[in-house]
Amino acid sequence: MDRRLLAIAVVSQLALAACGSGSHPAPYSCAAPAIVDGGMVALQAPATTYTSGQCVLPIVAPVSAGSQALGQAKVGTTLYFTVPAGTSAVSIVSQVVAGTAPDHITYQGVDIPNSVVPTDVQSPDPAVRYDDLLVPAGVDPYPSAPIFYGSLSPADGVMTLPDTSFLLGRVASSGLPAGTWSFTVNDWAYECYVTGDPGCTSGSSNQGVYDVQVLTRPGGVPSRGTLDLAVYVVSQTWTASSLRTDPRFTRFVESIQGLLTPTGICLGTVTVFDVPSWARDRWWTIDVDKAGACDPLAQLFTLSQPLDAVHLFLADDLTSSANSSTQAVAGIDGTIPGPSGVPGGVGSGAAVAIGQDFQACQGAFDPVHCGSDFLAYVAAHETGHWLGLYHPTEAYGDAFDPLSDTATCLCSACAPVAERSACFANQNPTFVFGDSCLKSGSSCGGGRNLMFWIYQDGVSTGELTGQQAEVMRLNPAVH
Amino acid sequence: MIAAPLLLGIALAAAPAADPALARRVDALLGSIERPATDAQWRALGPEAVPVLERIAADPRGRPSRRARAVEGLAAMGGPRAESAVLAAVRDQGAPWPVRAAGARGAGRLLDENRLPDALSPTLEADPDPRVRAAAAEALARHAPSRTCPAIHARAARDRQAAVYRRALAICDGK
Repeated sequence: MDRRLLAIAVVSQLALAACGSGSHPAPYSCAAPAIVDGGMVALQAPATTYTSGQCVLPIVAPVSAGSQALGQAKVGTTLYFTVPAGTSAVSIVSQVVAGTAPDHITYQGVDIPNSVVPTDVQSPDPAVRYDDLLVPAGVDPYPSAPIFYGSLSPADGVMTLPDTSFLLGRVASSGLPAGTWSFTVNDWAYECYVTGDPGCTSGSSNQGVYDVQVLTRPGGVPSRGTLDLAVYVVSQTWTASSLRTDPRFTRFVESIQGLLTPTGICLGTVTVFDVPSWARDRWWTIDVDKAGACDPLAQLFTLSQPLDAVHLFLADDLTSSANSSTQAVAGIDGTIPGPSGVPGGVGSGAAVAIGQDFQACQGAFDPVHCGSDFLAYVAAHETGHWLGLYHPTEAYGDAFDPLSDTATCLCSACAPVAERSACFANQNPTFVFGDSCLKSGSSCGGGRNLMFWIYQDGVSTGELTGQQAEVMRLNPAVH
Repeated sequence: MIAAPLLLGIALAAAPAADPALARRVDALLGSIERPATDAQWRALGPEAVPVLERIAADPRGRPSRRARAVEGLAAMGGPRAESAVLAAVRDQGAPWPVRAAGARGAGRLLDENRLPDALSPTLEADPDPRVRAAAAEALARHAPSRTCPAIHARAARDRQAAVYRRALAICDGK
């Protein structure tokens, strides 16, 4: 079959499969994306800085128009920015000034990255506000909250609005509140400092300084959009030139396209970059548990190039040692959402472990048997995170995303009856799996969703809901 | 002569089907994206899961990453049969490199300091893929450092792709 026809067939099949629970405005089709050679990445620091183990913490400028530079400010400082009438989305991008903020804090005995997150966000409408220290009550409180932030984002972080059902509704009806907004520059070390929380046993600080940019997006909620991908090949097997022209990679790209098509997003240009040999040798395998800004994953992401795109790093191997042994991880994101429009920082990437999974496959999308399709599923899942989507249900079945049209799968109601007594247990809690979350309606569902926390053969189909699609289309990376 | 993978494929096809509920749970644990399954989750499947994982790990038609995860599951479950399957994965030169690498990591978990060097030194010395050699080196460095770090240093020194041993050497050197 002609590759273009194959692409259309794949896209059509996926569109049918993925439209199950969402309310997408129209069936879509996409032209095949252009796959182009990006050449060798340009470095922001001399190679010796990386190879000597020094930490690269760049402050990068936006690559797209429409940003407001608020300058550098210490935690606790109130900053102001303008939201023009008719604005549909806002991103607040914070980048640490090297040496000012601790990398980690210790909270209740656990070492966690010192995440930067704006707080006391105030819009001209009193109903649209955010306080990082307030945790709303209830089993699933976030869809009705104005703003949600749930990412680990040391050094660099992005708050992109709207990301909740409440604010999506406001944007659809009247746009974001126009006028002057304000927020307080903040990180978790500063929250420890301000609150004096006895759970904070190290890392309390009021010294963090962050460079802050605000990006605004004009217009209403678009029904369609184009997304570019920047792909970085960090492999002992593949180079950009060998991968870019390989039919197994073409299939991978087509299958990502197929998963995104039902949302109204088409891939535009896929630019494939090489990284230097020292970078391949350094980062072909990465321990993703090391989540600090100076750790390997974050340092790899600083190779992302100045393109307004989602930046996907294809590494041979990603591992986790969280369970006292070294085990494989399929994919991981820098931050949720990703820093769209401001690439080159320590959170500017998503990584996918390619292993030896690239396969030449024929026929319909089949991640069970076709490795390239499975990799596409993982890449699309990580792309969803970049564009602002969280897991509809987290692993323990006790936390849910901020969207009302993604079904929840509460452990105590949906896990197999024999396993419910261990739901939310401190030791070895029950996990909720996709096959326990297959009901239609708003509860015990979501197991087929692209953003469910696991991929499960025979269960996962890559569904996305209408609100998930809106969040994705409103992200600044989608144009 | 019938190719070994074909014979294995026939054998696998002829194997009794797993309990559907168990198969679904195994599928779920093999499919985690951002966080691996815990040892407790693997062990909760019970010993009936060992032959299921064994079959997936050895299936030449299977996705390499899925096979590698199955090897990890076997390493978490432990026991003689799982150990045998993990060591078979390390030695299976027909298997994709992630499967062999998972086998090397798994051997590091399952074998004690006395048995591990004998099991993984041939892989460290002679596996054709540098990533598998690196996985073997890391497992040896973690679990049998006093007996194997000199050999790891020596192997790295004469390997054209010495950089792949960075993590193992860091463990050996206490960095």
